[in-house]
Amino acid sequence: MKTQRVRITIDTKGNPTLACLEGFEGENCLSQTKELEMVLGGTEVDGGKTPEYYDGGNNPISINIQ
Amino acid sequence: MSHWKKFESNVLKSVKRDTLGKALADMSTQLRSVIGLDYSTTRISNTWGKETVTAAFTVNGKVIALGANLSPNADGTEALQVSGDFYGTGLNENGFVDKLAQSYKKVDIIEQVEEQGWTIDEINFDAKGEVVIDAYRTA
Repeated sequence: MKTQRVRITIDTKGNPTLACLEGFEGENCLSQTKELEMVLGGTEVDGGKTPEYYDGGNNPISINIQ
Repeated sequence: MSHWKKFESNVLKSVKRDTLGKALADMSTQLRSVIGLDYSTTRISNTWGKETVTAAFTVNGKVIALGANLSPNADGTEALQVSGDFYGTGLNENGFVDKLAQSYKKVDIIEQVEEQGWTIDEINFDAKGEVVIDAYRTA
């Protein structure tokens, strides 16, 4: 069992952005947050790969939702 | 200075009335005034204008010269347009619709994210005035 964490940021005009924080591996961030993107009414504009996908990068991947 | 105007937001082009009510309650806690919609009052007016709307906005229970026009969308939601005059209402003309849009999205997202099995961990405002929602689930 693994805990997955995401952060949803809503800007001052009400536009949300989804970021995978931890608990995702490789491209799973994208595939496992599909339902959230749909919930947010979103269009994916980023591949959604987690930091783990790239050489242990530390920055969360953001997906802009319009 | 009085101005009779109309205001729209992309986010508010697809709203549900129950969620809109919750968004107004959320917004009220931030503004420290109770903002509501009175669907039984469809006529708003002041010295400078008048209009028939779907519902009149209220501040602390008092109808103001500001209303909501709700137009049906094909998917059962409604498009919201705010119309009227902010003069003398105590509300900020420049930020009201954006603040409502942000509160609407916040309430809507929290409900739907929880329905998807995620647990809301924290809800905060950052320095830019953005709402930051952290959620988790065990997969």
